[in-house]
Amino acid sequence: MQRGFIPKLTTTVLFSIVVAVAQGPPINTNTAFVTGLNGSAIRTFGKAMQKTTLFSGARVVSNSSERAASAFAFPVMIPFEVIPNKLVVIAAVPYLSKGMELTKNGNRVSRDASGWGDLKLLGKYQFYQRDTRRATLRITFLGGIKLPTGKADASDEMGPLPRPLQLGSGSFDVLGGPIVTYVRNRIGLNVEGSYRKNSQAEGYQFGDVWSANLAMGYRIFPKVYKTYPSPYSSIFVELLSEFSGKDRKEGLEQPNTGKKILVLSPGVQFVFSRTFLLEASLQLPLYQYFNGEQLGLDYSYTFGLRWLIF
Amino acid sequence: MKINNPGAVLTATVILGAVLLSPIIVAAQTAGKAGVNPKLTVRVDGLTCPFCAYSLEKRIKEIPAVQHSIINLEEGIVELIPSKGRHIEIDEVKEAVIAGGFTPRGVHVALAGKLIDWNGVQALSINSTNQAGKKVTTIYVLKENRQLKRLMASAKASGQEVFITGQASEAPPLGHTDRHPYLVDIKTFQVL
Repeated sequence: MQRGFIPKLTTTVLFSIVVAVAQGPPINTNTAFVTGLNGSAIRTFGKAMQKTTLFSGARVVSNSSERAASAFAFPVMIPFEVIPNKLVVIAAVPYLSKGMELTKNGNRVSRDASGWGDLKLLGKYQFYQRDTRRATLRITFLGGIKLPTGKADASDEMGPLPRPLQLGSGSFDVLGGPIVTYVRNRIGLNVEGSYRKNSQAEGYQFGDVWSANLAMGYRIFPKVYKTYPSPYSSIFVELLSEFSGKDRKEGLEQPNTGKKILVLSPGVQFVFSRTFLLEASLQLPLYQYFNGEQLGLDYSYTFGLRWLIF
Repeated sequence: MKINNPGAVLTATVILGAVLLSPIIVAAQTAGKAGVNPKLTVRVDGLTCPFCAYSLEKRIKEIPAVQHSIINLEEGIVELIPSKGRHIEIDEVKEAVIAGGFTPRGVHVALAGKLIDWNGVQALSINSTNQAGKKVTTIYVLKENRQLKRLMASAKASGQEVFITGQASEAPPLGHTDRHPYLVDIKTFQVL
Protein backbone atom coordinates (compact mmCIF):
# COMPACT_ATOMS: atom_id res chain seq x y z
CA MET A 1 0.00 0.00 0.00
CA GLN A 2 1.24 3.48 -0.84
CA ARG A 3 3.01 5.05 2.13
CA GLY A 4 0.97 7.71 3.86
CA PHE A 5 -2.27 6.55 2.33
CA ILE A 6 -4.10 5.93 5.63
CA PRO A 7 -3.18 9.35 7.13
CA LYS A 8 -4.15 11.03 3.86
CA LEU A 9 -7.47 9.22 3.72
CA THR A 10 -8.23 9.92 7.39
CA THR A 11 -7.42 13.60 6.94
CA THR A 12 -9.59 13.78 3.87
CA VAL A 13 -12.57 12.12 5.49
CA LEU A 14 -12.30 14.29 8.58
CA PHE A 15 -11.88 17.38 6.44
CA SER A 16 -14.92 16.38 4.45
CA ILE A 17 -17.04 15.87 7.53
CA VAL A 18 -15.97 19.11 9.19
CA VAL A 19 -16.16 21.32 6.15
CA ALA A 20 -19.17 19.48 4.75
CA VAL A 21 -19.74 19.94 1.12
CA ALA A 22 -22.20 21.65 -1.13
CA GLN A 23 -25.83 21.98 -1.63
CA GLY A 24 -26.17 21.53 -5.34
CA PRO A 25 -25.45 18.96 -8.01
CA PRO A 26 -21.93 17.66 -7.42
CA ILE A 27 -19.36 18.05 -10.16
CA ASN A 28 -18.01 14.53 -10.59
CA THR A 29 -20.52 12.44 -8.64
CA ASN A 30 -24.03 11.95 -9.91
CA THR A 31 -26.96 13.28 -7.92
CA ALA A 32 -30.19 11.40 -7.28
CA PHE A 33 -32.27 14.38 -8.39
CA VAL A 34 -34.11 13.96 -11.66
CA THR A 35 -35.53 17.48 -11.76
CA GLY A 36 -34.22 20.96 -12.49
CA LEU A 37 -30.69 21.08 -13.79
CA ASN A 38 -30.58 17.30 -13.69
CA GLY A 39 -33.72 16.82 -15.71
CA SER A 40 -33.46 19.34 -18.47
CA ALA A 41 -30.04 20.99 -18.68
CA ILE A 42 -27.44 20.34 -21.34
CA ARG A 43 -24.22 19.72 -19.55
CA THR A 44 -20.75 19.95 -20.97
CA PHE A 45 -17.33 20.20 -19.48
CA GLY A 46 -13.70 19.78 -20.33
CA LYS A 47 -11.60 17.26 -18.47
CA ALA A 48 -7.84 17.30 -18.81
CA MET A 49 -5.67 14.49 -17.49
CA GLN A 50 -1.93 14.13 -17.15
CA LYS A 51 0.02 10.92 -16.49
CA THR A 52 3.81 10.91 -16.23
CA THR A 53 4.55 8.77 -13.16
CA LEU A 54 5.19 5.07 -13.62
CA PHE A 55 3.81 2.73 -10.97
CA SER A 56 4.40 -0.89 -10.18
CA GLY A 57 1.71 -1.93 -7.79
CA ALA A 58 1.42 1.03 -5.42
CA ARG A 59 5.10 1.98 -5.80
CA VAL A 60 6.53 4.66 -8.01
CA VAL A 61 9.25 3.18 -10.20
CA SER A 62 11.80 4.59 -12.56
CA ASN A 63 10.26 5.82 -15.77
CA SER A 64 13.37 5.28 -17.85
CA SER A 65 11.62 5.59 -21.18
CA GLU A 66 9.89 8.79 -19.98
CA ARG A 67 6.49 7.42 -20.80
CA ALA A 68 3.73 9.99 -20.58
CA ALA A 69 0.07 10.12 -21.43
CA SER A 70 -2.43 12.90 -21.59
CA ALA A 71 -6.09 13.09 -22.41
CA PHE A 72 -8.68 15.77 -22.92
CA ALA A 73 -12.33 14.82 -22.83
CA PHE A 74 -15.20 17.08 -23.72
CA PRO A 75 -18.42 15.19 -22.96
CA VAL A 76 -21.80 16.57 -23.95
CA MET A 77 -24.80 15.31 -22.00
CA ILE A 78 -28.40 15.93 -23.00
CA PRO A 79 -31.11 14.82 -20.56
CA PHE A 80 -34.80 14.52 -21.31
CA GLU A 81 -37.49 14.21 -18.64
CA VAL A 82 -39.72 11.30 -19.63
CA ILE A 83 -41.84 11.01 -16.48
CA PRO A 84 -41.86 14.16 -14.33
CA ASN A 85 -39.82 13.69 -11.17
CA LYS A 86 -39.42 9.98 -11.94
CA LEU A 87 -37.52 9.15 -15.10
CA VAL A 88 -34.91 10.99 -17.10
CA VAL A 89 -33.11 9.61 -20.12
CA ILE A 90 -29.69 10.96 -20.97
CA ALA A 91 -27.58 10.81 -24.11
CA ALA A 92 -23.90 11.43 -23.51
CA VAL A 93 -21.04 11.45 -25.97
CA PRO A 94 -17.50 12.73 -25.44
CA TYR A 95 -15.14 14.43 -27.84
CA LEU A 96 -11.73 13.00 -27.01
CA SER A 97 -8.16 13.94 -27.62
CA LYS A 98 -5.65 11.37 -26.39
CA GLY A 99 -1.91 11.25 -26.65
CA MET A 100 1.05 9.23 -25.43
CA GLU A 101 4.80 9.68 -25.63
CA LEU A 102 7.89 7.67 -24.86
CA THR A 103 11.57 7.67 -25.64
CA LYS A 104 12.65 4.72 -27.76
CA ASN A 105 16.24 4.22 -28.93
CA GLY A 106 16.96 7.84 -28.06
CA ASN A 107 14.07 9.15 -30.11
CA ARG A 108 10.93 10.71 -28.68
CA VAL A 109 7.93 8.94 -30.10
CA SER A 110 4.41 10.28 -29.83
CA ARG A 111 1.08 8.90 -30.90
CA ASP A 112 -2.32 10.47 -30.61
CA ALA A 113 -5.95 10.25 -31.59
CA SER A 114 -8.88 12.64 -31.47
CA GLY A 115 -12.56 12.49 -32.33
CA TRP A 116 -15.91 11.44 -30.92
CA GLY A 117 -15.94 8.61 -28.40
CA ASP A 118 -18.60 6.07 -27.51
CA LEU A 119 -22.21 7.15 -27.04
CA LYS A 120 -23.87 6.34 -23.74
CA LEU A 121 -27.63 6.06 -23.42
CA LEU A 122 -28.65 6.24 -19.80
CA GLY A 123 -31.84 6.14 -17.80
CA LYS A 124 -32.19 7.56 -14.31
CA TYR A 125 -35.19 6.41 -12.30
CA GLN A 126 -36.11 7.81 -8.91
CA PHE A 127 -37.68 5.15 -6.72
CA TYR A 128 -37.57 6.80 -3.31
CA GLN A 129 -38.25 10.32 -2.16
CA ARG A 130 -38.79 11.59 1.35
CA ASP A 131 -39.29 15.31 1.79
CA THR A 132 -39.39 17.20 5.02
CA ARG A 133 -39.14 20.88 5.76
CA ARG A 134 -35.95 22.17 4.12
CA ALA A 135 -34.58 18.65 3.70
CA THR A 136 -34.93 15.82 1.22
CA LEU A 137 -33.69 12.28 0.74
CA ARG A 138 -33.82 10.75 -2.73
CA ILE A 139 -32.63 7.46 -4.15
CA THR A 140 -32.35 6.72 -7.84
CA PHE A 141 -30.94 4.05 -10.07
CA LEU A 142 -28.80 5.08 -13.01
CA GLY A 143 -28.27 2.50 -15.71
CA GLY A 144 -27.63 2.27 -19.38
CA ILE A 145 -25.63 1.04 -22.30
CA LYS A 146 -22.47 2.20 -24.01
CA LEU A 147 -22.56 1.85 -27.75
CA PRO A 148 -19.44 1.34 -29.89
CA THR A 149 -19.79 4.60 -31.82
CA GLY A 150 -16.20 5.73 -31.29
CA LYS A 151 -13.48 4.53 -33.64
CA ALA A 152 -11.80 1.46 -32.15
CA ASP A 153 -9.46 0.45 -34.95
CA ALA A 154 -7.49 3.64 -35.61
CA SER A 155 -3.88 3.34 -36.65
CA ASP A 156 -0.97 5.57 -37.55
CA GLU A 157 2.29 5.07 -39.45
CA MET A 158 3.50 2.79 -36.65
CA GLY A 159 0.51 0.52 -36.95
CA PRO A 160 -2.69 0.08 -34.96
CA LEU A 161 -2.96 2.34 -31.94
CA PRO A 162 -2.88 0.64 -28.52
CA ARG A 163 -6.34 -0.08 -27.11
CA PRO A 164 -6.22 2.61 -24.41
CA LEU A 165 -5.47 5.20 -27.08
CA GLN A 166 -8.44 4.27 -29.23
CA LEU A 167 -11.44 6.61 -29.07
CA GLY A 168 -13.93 3.80 -28.53
CA SER A 169 -13.84 0.37 -26.94
CA GLY A 170 -15.61 -1.25 -29.87
CA SER A 171 -17.90 -3.08 -27.47
CA PHE A 172 -21.45 -2.86 -26.18
CA ASP A 173 -21.14 -2.37 -22.44
CA VAL A 174 -23.78 -2.09 -19.74
CA LEU A 175 -23.53 -0.05 -16.59
CA GLY A 176 -25.67 0.78 -13.61
CA GLY A 177 -25.81 1.60 -9.93
CA PRO A 178 -27.67 3.43 -7.19
CA ILE A 179 -27.35 7.08 -6.20
CA VAL A 180 -28.39 8.48 -2.83
CA THR A 181 -28.73 12.20 -2.22
CA TYR A 182 -29.53 13.94 1.04
CA VAL A 183 -29.83 17.71 1.18
CA ARG A 184 -30.52 19.73 4.30
CA ASN A 185 -30.41 23.50 4.24
CA ARG A 186 -26.96 24.47 2.94
CA ILE A 187 -25.44 21.01 3.05
CA GLY A 188 -25.72 18.27 0.47
CA LEU A 189 -24.45 14.69 0.52
CA ASN A 190 -24.33 12.39 -2.50
CA VAL A 191 -23.21 8.77 -2.65
CA GLU A 192 -22.98 6.84 -5.88
CA GLY A 193 -21.98 3.30 -6.71
CA SER A 194 -21.77 1.82 -10.18
CA TYR A 195 -20.65 -1.23 -12.05
CA ARG A 196 -19.76 -1.42 -15.72
CA LYS A 197 -19.73 -4.81 -17.40
CA ASN A 198 -17.51 -4.61 -20.44
CA SER A 199 -17.92 -7.02 -23.29
CA GLN A 200 -15.50 -8.32 -25.86
CA ALA A 201 -14.92 -6.71 -29.24
CA GLU A 202 -12.38 -7.76 -31.86
CA GLY A 203 -10.82 -10.21 -29.41
CA TYR A 204 -10.23 -7.61 -26.72
CA GLN A 205 -12.18 -7.06 -23.54
CA PHE A 206 -11.56 -4.22 -21.11
CA GLY A 207 -11.77 -5.17 -17.44
CA ASP A 208 -15.03 -4.58 -15.61
CA VAL A 209 -15.13 -1.40 -13.58
CA TRP A 210 -16.53 -0.78 -10.09
CA SER A 211 -16.70 2.77 -8.87
CA ALA A 212 -17.89 4.44 -5.69
CA ASN A 213 -18.09 8.18 -5.22
CA LEU A 214 -18.88 10.38 -2.28
CA ALA A 215 -19.59 14.08 -2.66
CA MET A 216 -20.37 16.64 -0.04
CA GLY A 217 -21.35 20.19 -0.79
CA TYR A 218 -21.85 23.41 1.09
CA ARG A 219 -23.46 26.60 -0.15
CA ILE A 220 -21.00 29.34 0.70
CA PHE A 221 -23.22 32.23 -0.33
CA PRO A 222 -25.76 33.50 0.23
CA LYS A 223 -26.03 32.43 3.85
CA VAL A 224 -29.80 32.73 3.57
CA TYR A 225 -31.20 31.83 0.17
CA LYS A 226 -34.55 33.53 0.23
CA THR A 227 -36.24 33.94 -3.14
CA TYR A 228 -35.65 31.79 -6.19
CA PRO A 229 -33.87 32.55 -8.46
CA SER A 230 -30.88 34.20 -6.83
CA PRO A 231 -27.17 33.77 -7.59
CA TYR A 232 -25.38 31.34 -5.32
CA SER A 233 -22.15 29.46 -5.00
CA SER A 234 -21.24 26.11 -3.52
CA ILE A 235 -18.01 24.33 -2.72
CA PHE A 236 -17.54 20.58 -2.96
CA VAL A 237 -15.25 17.90 -1.68
CA GLU A 238 -15.55 14.60 -3.51
CA LEU A 239 -13.89 11.25 -3.01
CA LEU A 240 -13.82 9.24 -6.21
CA SER A 241 -12.76 5.64 -6.32
CA GLU A 242 -12.45 3.17 -9.15
CA PHE A 243 -11.52 -0.49 -9.26
CA SER A 244 -11.01 -2.03 -12.66
CA GLY A 245 -10.19 -5.62 -13.47
CA LYS A 246 -7.59 -6.88 -15.92
CA ASP A 247 -8.22 -6.59 -19.63
CA ARG A 248 -8.36 -9.77 -21.67
CA LYS A 249 -6.96 -10.34 -25.14
CA GLU A 250 -8.11 -13.47 -26.91
CA GLY A 251 -9.24 -14.69 -23.49
CA LEU A 252 -5.87 -14.11 -21.82
CA GLU A 253 -5.46 -11.65 -18.97
CA GLN A 254 -3.19 -8.74 -19.82
CA PRO A 255 -0.57 -8.20 -17.09
CA ASN A 256 -0.25 -4.41 -17.22
CA THR A 257 -3.93 -3.63 -16.91
CA GLY A 258 -6.39 -3.14 -14.05
CA LYS A 259 -6.10 -0.69 -11.18
CA LYS A 260 -7.43 0.66 -7.90
CA ILE A 261 -7.49 4.40 -7.50
CA LEU A 262 -8.82 6.86 -4.94
CA VAL A 263 -8.98 10.53 -5.87
CA LEU A 264 -9.74 13.65 -3.86
CA SER A 265 -11.59 16.31 -5.80
CA PRO A 266 -12.25 19.77 -4.41
CA GLY A 267 -14.46 21.96 -6.57
CA VAL A 268 -16.47 25.12 -6.82
CA GLN A 269 -19.73 25.99 -8.54
CA PHE A 270 -21.33 29.31 -9.46
CA VAL A 271 -24.96 29.68 -10.41
CA PHE A 272 -25.62 33.05 -11.97
CA SER A 273 -29.21 32.62 -13.05
CA ARG A 274 -31.94 29.99 -13.12
CA THR A 275 -30.58 28.55 -16.36
CA PHE A 276 -26.81 28.76 -16.18
CA LEU A 277 -24.17 27.17 -13.99
CA LEU A 278 -20.36 27.20 -14.12
CA GLU A 279 -18.20 24.71 -12.26
CA ALA A 280 -14.60 23.59 -11.88
CA SER A 281 -12.82 20.91 -9.90
CA LEU A 282 -9.36 19.46 -9.43
CA GLN A 283 -8.64 15.76 -9.02
CA LEU A 284 -5.63 14.69 -6.99
CA PRO A 285 -4.82 11.01 -6.44
CA LEU A 286 -4.68 9.86 -2.83
CA TYR A 287 -3.99 6.23 -3.57
CA GLN A 288 -3.13 4.33 -6.73
CA TYR A 289 -2.44 0.65 -7.23
CA PHE A 290 -1.71 -0.87 -10.63
CA ASN A 291 -1.33 -4.41 -11.84
CA GLY A 292 2.10 -4.69 -13.42
CA GLU A 293 3.63 -1.42 -14.59
CA GLN A 294 1.33 1.41 -15.62
CA LEU A 295 1.29 5.16 -15.74
CA GLY A 296 -0.49 6.71 -12.75
CA LEU A 297 -2.51 9.87 -12.59
CA ASP A 298 -0.56 13.03 -11.77
CA TYR A 299 -3.65 15.22 -11.70
CA SER A 300 -6.71 16.05 -13.68
CA TYR A 301 -9.10 18.95 -13.69
CA THR A 302 -12.53 19.72 -15.01
CA PHE A 303 -14.30 22.94 -15.90
CA GLY A 304 -17.74 23.13 -17.37
CA LEU A 305 -21.21 24.51 -17.60
CA ARG A 306 -24.82 23.39 -17.40
CA TRP A 307 -27.44 25.19 -19.38
CA LEU A 308 -31.17 24.68 -18.93
CA ILE A 309 -32.91 24.57 -22.25
CA PHE A 310 -36.29 22.90 -21.77
CA MET B 1 -83.00 29.59 38.70
CA LYS B 2 -84.51 33.02 39.23
CA ILE B 3 -82.98 35.91 37.44
CA ASN B 4 -83.03 38.90 39.72
CA ASN B 5 -81.45 41.35 37.36
CA PRO B 6 -82.11 40.63 33.68
CA GLY B 7 -80.35 43.86 32.68
CA ALA B 8 -77.10 42.79 34.31
CA VAL B 9 -77.29 39.38 32.64
CA LEU B 10 -77.83 41.00 29.25
CA THR B 11 -74.90 43.36 29.83
CA ALA B 12 -72.69 40.44 30.89
CA THR B 13 -73.74 38.46 27.83
CA VAL B 14 -72.91 41.37 25.52
CA ILE B 15 -69.50 41.86 27.18
CA LEU B 16 -68.75 38.12 27.03
CA GLY B 17 -69.85 38.02 23.41
CA ALA B 18 -67.67 40.98 22.58
CA VAL B 19 -64.68 39.34 24.29
CA LEU B 20 -65.28 36.07 22.44
CA LEU B 21 -65.74 37.79 19.10
CA SER B 22 -62.83 40.17 19.51
CA PRO B 23 -60.19 37.97 17.82
CA ILE B 24 -62.35 37.61 14.75
CA ILE B 25 -63.15 41.33 14.70
CA VAL B 26 -59.49 42.26 15.10
CA ALA B 27 -58.60 39.76 12.40
CA ALA B 28 -61.25 41.19 10.15
CA GLN B 29 -59.83 44.65 10.64
CA THR B 30 -56.36 43.36 9.95
CA ALA B 31 -57.54 41.78 6.76
CA GLY B 32 -59.13 45.04 5.75
CA LYS B 33 -55.91 46.92 6.28
CA ALA B 34 -53.97 44.31 4.33
CA GLY B 35 -56.20 44.61 1.29
CA VAL B 36 -58.37 42.04 -0.39
CA ASN B 37 -55.99 40.53 -2.90
CA PRO B 38 -56.63 36.82 -3.39
CA LYS B 39 -53.56 34.69 -2.89
CA LEU B 40 -52.65 31.05 -2.38
CA THR B 41 -49.63 30.00 -0.33
CA VAL B 42 -48.48 26.40 -0.28
CA ARG B 43 -45.84 24.95 1.97
CA VAL B 44 -43.49 22.77 -0.04
CA ASP B 45 -41.38 20.12 1.64
CA GLY B 46 -38.06 19.09 0.14
CA LEU B 47 -37.54 22.54 -1.33
CA THR B 48 -33.90 22.74 -0.38
CA CYS B 49 -31.93 23.18 -3.54
CA PRO B 50 -32.04 26.14 -5.90
CA PHE B 51 -30.79 23.94 -8.74
CA CYS B 52 -33.96 21.88 -8.70
CA ALA B 53 -36.45 24.69 -7.99
CA TYR B 54 -36.50 25.40 -11.72
CA SER B 55 -38.79 22.41 -12.31
CA LEU B 56 -41.21 23.68 -9.69
CA GLU B 57 -41.26 27.16 -11.18
CA LYS B 58 -41.84 25.69 -14.63
CA ARG B 59 -44.83 23.62 -13.46
CA ILE B 60 -46.30 26.52 -11.49
CA LYS B 61 -46.08 28.77 -14.54
CA GLU B 62 -48.06 26.20 -16.51
CA ILE B 63 -51.13 26.81 -14.30
CA PRO B 64 -53.20 29.18 -16.47
CA ALA B 65 -54.75 31.17 -13.59
CA VAL B 66 -51.40 32.08 -12.04
CA GLN B 67 -50.27 35.60 -12.82
CA HIS B 68 -47.29 35.75 -10.51
CA SER B 69 -45.45 33.36 -8.22
CA ILE B 70 -42.77 33.71 -5.56
CA ILE B 71 -40.68 30.71 -4.49
CA ASN B 72 -39.25 31.26 -1.04
CA LEU B 73 -36.64 28.61 -0.34
CA GLU B 74 -35.79 29.84 3.12
CA GLU B 75 -39.36 29.39 4.32
CA GLY B 76 -40.13 26.49 2.00
CA ILE B 77 -43.24 28.16 0.64
CA VAL B 78 -44.60 29.21 -2.73
CA GLU B 79 -46.96 32.18 -3.06
CA LEU B 80 -49.28 32.36 -6.04
CA ILE B 81 -51.19 35.42 -7.19
CA PRO B 82 -54.09 34.81 -9.62
CA SER B 83 -54.76 36.83 -12.73
CA LYS B 84 -57.69 39.24 -12.48
CA GLY B 85 -61.01 37.39 -12.62
CA ARG B 86 -59.30 34.01 -12.36
CA HIS B 87 -59.19 31.52 -9.52
CA ILE B 88 -56.28 29.21 -8.71
CA GLU B 89 -57.47 25.68 -7.95
CA ILE B 90 -55.63 24.07 -5.03
CA ASP B 91 -55.59 20.67 -6.74
CA GLU B 92 -53.79 22.13 -9.75
CA VAL B 93 -51.16 23.63 -7.47
CA LYS B 94 -50.63 20.35 -5.62
CA GLU B 95 -50.25 18.48 -8.89
CA ALA B 96 -47.73 21.07 -10.11
CA VAL B 97 -45.68 20.77 -6.93
CA ILE B 98 -45.56 16.98 -7.20
CA ALA B 99 -44.69 17.08 -10.90
CA GLY B 100 -42.01 19.65 -10.06
CA GLY B 101 -40.37 17.14 -7.75
CA PHE B 102 -41.54 18.17 -4.30
CA THR B 103 -44.16 17.42 -1.67
CA PRO B 104 -47.07 19.83 -1.08
CA ARG B 105 -48.15 20.31 2.53
CA GLY B 106 -50.35 22.97 4.10
CA VAL B 107 -52.21 25.43 1.92
CA HIS B 108 -53.14 28.92 3.09
CA VAL B 109 -55.70 30.83 1.07
CA ALA B 110 -56.87 34.42 0.80
CA LEU B 111 -60.18 34.36 -1.04
CA ALA B 112 -62.88 36.81 -2.07
CA GLY B 113 -66.34 35.37 -2.68
CA LYS B 114 -69.95 35.17 -1.66
CA LEU B 115 -71.13 33.51 1.56
CA ILE B 116 -73.78 30.92 0.85
CA ASP B 117 -75.59 28.08 2.53
CA TRP B 118 -74.40 24.97 0.69
CA ASN B 119 -76.21 21.75 1.53
CA GLY B 120 -76.76 23.02 5.05
CA VAL B 121 -73.20 24.18 5.66
CA GLN B 122 -71.64 27.58 5.39
CA ALA B 123 -69.58 27.95 2.27
CA LEU B 124 -67.82 30.47 0.12
CA SER B 125 -68.79 30.61 -3.53
CA ILE B 126 -66.21 32.06 -5.92
CA ASN B 127 -67.15 32.99 -9.44
CA SER B 128 -64.34 33.22 -11.96
CA THR B 129 -63.57 32.50 -15.58
CA ASN B 130 -61.50 29.62 -16.80
CA GLN B 131 -58.90 29.64 -19.57
CA ALA B 132 -61.59 29.26 -22.22
CA GLY B 133 -63.40 32.32 -20.88
CA LYS B 134 -66.22 30.22 -19.47
CA LYS B 135 -67.72 31.18 -16.10
CA VAL B 136 -67.02 28.66 -13.33
CA THR B 137 -67.97 28.50 -9.67
CA THR B 138 -65.72 27.07 -6.97
CA ILE B 139 -67.10 26.18 -3.54
CA TYR B 140 -65.10 26.26 -0.30
CA VAL B 141 -66.73 24.79 2.78
CA LEU B 142 -66.15 26.99 5.84
CA LYS B 143 -65.19 25.18 8.99
CA GLU B 144 -67.86 25.44 11.70
CA ASN B 145 -67.04 28.46 13.76
CA ARG B 146 -69.58 29.69 16.30
CA GLN B 147 -68.04 33.12 16.64
CA LEU B 148 -68.00 33.56 12.90
CA LYS B 149 -71.61 32.41 12.71
CA ARG B 150 -72.67 35.07 15.20
CA LEU B 151 -70.65 37.73 13.47
CA MET B 152 -72.11 36.76 10.13
CA ALA B 153 -75.59 36.95 11.59
CA SER B 154 -74.94 40.28 13.25
CA ALA B 155 -73.35 41.69 10.14
CA LYS B 156 -76.00 40.12 7.94
CA ALA B 157 -73.11 38.82 5.91
CA SER B 158 -74.90 35.88 4.37
CA GLY B 159 -75.16 36.36 0.64
CA GLN B 160 -72.66 39.20 0.72
CA GLU B 161 -69.20 39.44 -0.79
CA VAL B 162 -66.57 38.63 1.82
CA PHE B 163 -62.81 38.27 1.99
CA ILE B 164 -61.42 35.46 4.09
CA THR B 165 -58.03 34.05 4.88
CA GLY B 166 -57.31 30.67 6.43
CA GLN B 167 -55.87 27.21 6.18
CA ALA B 168 -57.41 24.97 3.53
CA SER B 169 -57.64 21.21 3.79
CA GLU B 170 -59.40 18.54 1.79
CA ALA B 171 -63.01 17.90 2.76
CA PRO B 172 -64.56 14.45 2.16
CA PRO B 173 -65.37 13.67 -1.48
CA LEU B 174 -68.77 14.54 -2.88
CA GLY B 175 -70.94 11.44 -3.29
CA HIS B 176 -69.30 8.81 -5.43
CA THR B 177 -67.15 11.22 -7.39
CA ASP B 178 -63.48 12.04 -6.96
CA ARG B 179 -64.36 15.71 -6.63
CA HIS B 180 -64.00 17.14 -3.20
CA PRO B 181 -64.37 20.65 -1.91
CA TYR B 182 -61.78 22.26 0.31
CA LEU B 183 -62.50 23.12 3.90
CA VAL B 184 -61.24 26.47 5.10
CA ASP B 185 -60.41 27.09 8.74
CA ILE B 186 -60.94 30.84 8.80
CA LYS B 187 -58.29 33.01 10.34
CA THR B 188 -59.53 36.43 9.24
CA PHE B 189 -62.86 37.57 7.86
CA GLN B 190 -64.04 40.79 6.27
CA VAL B 191 -67.37 41.84 4.76
CA LEU B 192 -66.65 43.76 1.59
